[in-house]
Amino acid sequence: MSLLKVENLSLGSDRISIVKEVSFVIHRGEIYGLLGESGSGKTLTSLSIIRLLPPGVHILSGKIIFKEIDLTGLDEENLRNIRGKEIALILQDPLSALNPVLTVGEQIEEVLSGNKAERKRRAIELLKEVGLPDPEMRLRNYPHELSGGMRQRVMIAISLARDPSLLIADEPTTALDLTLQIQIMKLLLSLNQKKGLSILFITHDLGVMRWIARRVGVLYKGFLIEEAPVEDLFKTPLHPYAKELMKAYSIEDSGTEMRALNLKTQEHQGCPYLALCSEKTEKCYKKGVPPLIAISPKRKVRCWHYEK
Amino acid sequence: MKNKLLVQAKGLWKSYEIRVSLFKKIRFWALKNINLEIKERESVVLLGESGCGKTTLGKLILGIEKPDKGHIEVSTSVQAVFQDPYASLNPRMKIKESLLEPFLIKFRKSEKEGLKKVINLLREVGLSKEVLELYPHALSGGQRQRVALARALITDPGLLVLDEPTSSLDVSVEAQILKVLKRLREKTGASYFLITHSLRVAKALADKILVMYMGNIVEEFSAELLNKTMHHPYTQMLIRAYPDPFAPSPPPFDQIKGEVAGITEIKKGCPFYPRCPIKEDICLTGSPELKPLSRKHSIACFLVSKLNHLN
Repeated sequence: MSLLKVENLSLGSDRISIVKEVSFVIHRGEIYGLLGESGSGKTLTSLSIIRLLPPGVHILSGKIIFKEIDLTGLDEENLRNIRGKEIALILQDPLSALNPVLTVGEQIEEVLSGNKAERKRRAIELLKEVGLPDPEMRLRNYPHELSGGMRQRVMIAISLARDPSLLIADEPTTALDLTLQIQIMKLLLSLNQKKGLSILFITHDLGVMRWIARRVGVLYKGFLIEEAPVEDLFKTPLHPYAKELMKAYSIEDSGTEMRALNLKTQEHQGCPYLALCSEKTEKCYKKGVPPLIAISPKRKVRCWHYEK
Repeated sequence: MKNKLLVQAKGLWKSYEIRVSLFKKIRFWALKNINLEIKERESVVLLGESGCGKTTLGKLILGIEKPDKGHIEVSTSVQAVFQDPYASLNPRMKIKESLLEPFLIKFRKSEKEGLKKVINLLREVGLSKEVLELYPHALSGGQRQRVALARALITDPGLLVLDEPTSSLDVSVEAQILKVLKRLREKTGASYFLITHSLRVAKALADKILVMYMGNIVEEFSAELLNKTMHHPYTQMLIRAYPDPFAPSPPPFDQIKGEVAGITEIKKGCPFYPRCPIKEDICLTGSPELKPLSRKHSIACFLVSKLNHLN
């Protein structure tokens, strides 16, 4: 059953669109991944769900349906009941997301209800759940007294405080060391398995994506260019851009060295990847963006080559 | 093949004073007894996580910092490329000016000759001469890093210190820069001292890999031995923690534990003791020294005899 349904979502300013007609579905209990490089629109897409878009950027068209409610039609007040309570968010840099002048305990208890003792008990419970050692002692710490890994655990604890059904995790491991990254991945996976927490996981890191998400959508220049179950995507990527990304990761056989030469980005009305594509043929110069073509019930790709 | 030594460091110690409260300062050792050799045409990779002291070692080689104890001899010209190309290029200088300036200072030749070399180098790093008249803000991160690389190479240095040169770049751009680095090394014969936290980057460029943990070099080995020999427990942990997207099975989530001790909680014994999966009482008796296992491999561990091959 679907928990979140994003339909033909376009985001941008009055003059340009940055995210273009993106659609995807997150099922209950699923980890869905959005994969893309910087500027591909993955963060904007995720922020638009709880409407935390930067100034000047707004939803141009499309629907965001969460538990049968279209979030794009909600006013601020109703949206506030969704943020944190139903949909929680964790970000890349926990130090700037935490308040430096409040203790860990104050920041967790802030979002809880009940009397003081109850709130404290629940805060300790949450810190235990996210695997922070000595939770009682940590409640009195300020963010700067914690390591990067611990801060991210505190962020996750706060996000879980209201028992949300969807967690948006935007590059939560990118600022962390390798040995901490894997521990945060493990924590999110276990929250998903034990509590059935649905997660929208955003990253540019192929390795992290491979081992955390169940289904993945690949974004390129604001377009969803491929969607597939994670094993299929990594075994047999279909879109030329996805193929190039996989090759680049294993450095050795990447053939892209001289590719970033074009200083002038040509605004072509057709396929967004045309300028860089190594598999382009005559039909790729067709007018219009290729549609997201369903190859099988589970796989979709936005490329003229797969048109029947 | 006998190659000349470009950098020779013996027993380097470096500390910083850190204020832990209003009245209390503590001395934090960023580097402890480091020995290092970089040969001509050699690419040495320093692998470690944040705060382990790897950038400090780079600064000692560049002469930006002086060691507290020990001796370092650098017998070649050194240039540097840093992580953030947004910060390392002057936003008010055209790319042409940024590239020409070091050339004119070092060689005292005409601007025309300089420009010839600039254009040549730009081609080497994969940029066209269109960029000459542009300012840094008009370039992408990858293009800026190429410019930074060209600028470092324009004075024909014998050694390049590369401090996380690709960590702020996208995967596809990173692959391009690494390829350029590889090709330039063959062409110019410059040695590299590459500082990174990424096993993938280390694999792509290293002749020799040094693994650093809390200011100590815990292992030193020839790059071809990676994964083919026994490794220090920390190196093993790094290898296991790397999520390889093309591996047949997920990384062993349960085997990676703990984190680096805070600077105020440093205790006696092996620095890796609190996280080590094979620790014993002997490990608390002191800090183990780097001991050679073979000509190409040294490990600093009391329990060398108990280390197993990874696979």
